[in-house]
Amino acid sequence: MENEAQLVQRARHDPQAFAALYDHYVERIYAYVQRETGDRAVAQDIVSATFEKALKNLPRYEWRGVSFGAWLYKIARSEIALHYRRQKRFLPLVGRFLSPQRVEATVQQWEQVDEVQIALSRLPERDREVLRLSFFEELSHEEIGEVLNCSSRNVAVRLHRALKRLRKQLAKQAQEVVVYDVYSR
Amino acid sequence: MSIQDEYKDLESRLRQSKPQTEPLPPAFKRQVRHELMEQMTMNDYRFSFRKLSMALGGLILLIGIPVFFWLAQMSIGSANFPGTEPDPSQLDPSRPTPTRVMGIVSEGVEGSEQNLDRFWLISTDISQGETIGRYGTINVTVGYKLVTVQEAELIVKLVEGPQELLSANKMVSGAIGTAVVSLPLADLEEPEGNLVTLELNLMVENPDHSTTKRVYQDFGAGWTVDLTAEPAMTTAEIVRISKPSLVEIDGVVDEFVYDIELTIAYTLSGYDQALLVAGYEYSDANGSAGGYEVIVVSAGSGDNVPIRLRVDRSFFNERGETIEGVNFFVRLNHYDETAAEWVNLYPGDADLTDGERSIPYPYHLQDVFYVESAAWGEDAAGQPILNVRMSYNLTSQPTAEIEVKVIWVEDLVLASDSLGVEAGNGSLTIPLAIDPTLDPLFLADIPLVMVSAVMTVGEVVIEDGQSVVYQGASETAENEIQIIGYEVVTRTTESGVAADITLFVGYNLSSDYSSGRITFSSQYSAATQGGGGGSGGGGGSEKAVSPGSGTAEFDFSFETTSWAAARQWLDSMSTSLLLFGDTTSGEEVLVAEVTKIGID
Repeated sequence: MENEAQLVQRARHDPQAFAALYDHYVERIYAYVQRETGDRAVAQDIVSATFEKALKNLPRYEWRGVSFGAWLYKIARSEIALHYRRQKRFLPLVGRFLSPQRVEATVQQWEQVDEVQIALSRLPERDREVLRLSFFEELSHEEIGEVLNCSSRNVAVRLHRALKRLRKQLAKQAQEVVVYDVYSR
Repeated sequence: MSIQDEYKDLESRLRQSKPQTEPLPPAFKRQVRHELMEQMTMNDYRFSFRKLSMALGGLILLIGIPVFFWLAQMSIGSANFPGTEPDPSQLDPSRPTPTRVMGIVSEGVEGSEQNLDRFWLISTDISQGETIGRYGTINVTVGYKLVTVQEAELIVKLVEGPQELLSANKMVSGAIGTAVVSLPLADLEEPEGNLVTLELNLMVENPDHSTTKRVYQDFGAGWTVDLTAEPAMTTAEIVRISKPSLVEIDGVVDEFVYDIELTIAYTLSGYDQALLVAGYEYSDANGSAGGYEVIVVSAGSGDNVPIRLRVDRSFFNERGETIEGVNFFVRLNHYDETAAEWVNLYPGDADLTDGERSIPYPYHLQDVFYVESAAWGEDAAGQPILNVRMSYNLTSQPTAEIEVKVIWVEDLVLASDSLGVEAGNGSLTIPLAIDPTLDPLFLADIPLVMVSAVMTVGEVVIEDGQSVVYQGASETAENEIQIIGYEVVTRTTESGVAADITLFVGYNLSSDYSSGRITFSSQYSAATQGGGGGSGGGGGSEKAVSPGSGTAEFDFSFETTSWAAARQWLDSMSTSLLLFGDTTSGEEVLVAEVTKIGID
């Protein structure tokens, strides 16, 4: 792949350049959305909307030294939120994109349920999100900062706090008698 | 296992627990790719077409303007171009035809000015001649043309014979335009008898009274008001739509979603409570979309109820206006317990969406309240101010009280404020001026404050808070370490109470060292309430640091039998912090240390 900044610049007018970016990122974005929603059909819709929106907003995109992929993650994240807003319109929408119930339902679909996932589902969404972006999506602090609109230093702090809370949650779970009861709800 | 190893292990477990996903179906991948390419080609085409249109437009203007002036020259002598003044009778063929029109009458106007300022009835939302409920609202749309004044007052009156029953007014300006005036019959003075026929009068009056000029028109048919009708009438209307602003969640701007605030006026009678639904709908050939928010409103009326909507940015154009096909709406729904379903009260015939039908009843939406951010600033006198931004979504009660405090050590309140909010969702920023008698050096010494915010909804209290480090705090000197603050969270356990403590430590390691570390340890020793002794290790850990200044956090917890014992243990706690630096020769030396007894 040629220098990504140049490719993005070219993609504003050249369909082939945009196609190259699409080919490079589409699987990653699809995997991300699938993990977030737990629904392949929904994930396909969201991926399609994400790239459409990226194409539409490309003239406004500014290269800030962080991968183009981070911007796509940001759009996909927004599309996921929009999807859930449409589904559960009468629930409060502020900062609660993923309800614990939905996370648990999503977790249920995963084949390998382990205690880390259970602990994750019990953390505040703010913590879950930064952990997922870092350890599941393997984004750098700078890329996460682009997705969440904050500095990479802030990402480091949030990540540290989230890990700390995850550790506490795991310790608490270890003392619980019926850990897996959560999945029967 | 050291804490570092524990974290490494945790990170590794997190990576292993990454949920597996299916690859994107190749056919779908190809299809999306194809559609995107097509869209891009189409955009190019549109761009070219636009350029072509602009060029043609320029050409038309070049030719059209001289022709226009030539035509204007030809028509000199005419007062108006045909079509600039709508003929009242031609405006809307579907509008109800008045059975009795008295015509335009001017009073105190001489000569040629007569009839220059005009107005005309365009429509009423309830056809004249119909019987309307006692609590209905008649919305009257009026067209006007102002020639002799810039601005005028439009007065709409409902009369019964010579008696004026109700009036509403509106300032209008500009040469020509339309205005909608609402006449809520709930405000109607009680007429005698069960049935009453009304007439509509329209008047335009010069607002500065420099000339007494009044024109009015009398549309005679009117309506019949059924005074025996059930007073179960509801109305709701959007009175204002704010400009869109980008959504900010926890201080993070989402550039793809707009916040938009609808201001709603409503009247609800005959029901104790109803659900006010405000939202937007969009539809085009490809399908439809939309969203809404709801709040509970109580019997009575409100004219300034804010409802904040989150709307995808793609529904707006570059100028921030909604694109064609987007409509905002407001509805009032009520749960019919007999039929066990939601019914629409206003506008009365709206089809409820699946989402609205499935809202659980008794309806209870949890009230939401949280502190979005807290940022330091200064007032005009240079005193520190903490600007606390909070968000709320109040649905269960019509009003609630919000109280916010800035707390320093020992629960010392540095500043506080409180205010009431009404049902709806919104956000507000309260600037809290820090007590000027407080020596700012105190804040510099222990620069961590806690913002404590509480929303009281009936008997329910919702709390949120945030820690903020005072930015005016003195920097930690080179090769020094200091405790800049702490947070203590106490909780009840099965055997007593537990305290979770976070220490905030400022450090500054000079560039003489290649790297360094901070070790933290704490010990407590105190008599418990029951008379027995207690002592032991409160906690210990270490953190690697790089040269330069920064903040490190250390967490530890302890459990004891009671709150009093916990307090004693906190008072007697001995905390020790050591800052070590690695020299270029590889030797580790103690750079600074600090010991503190008691958590205060």
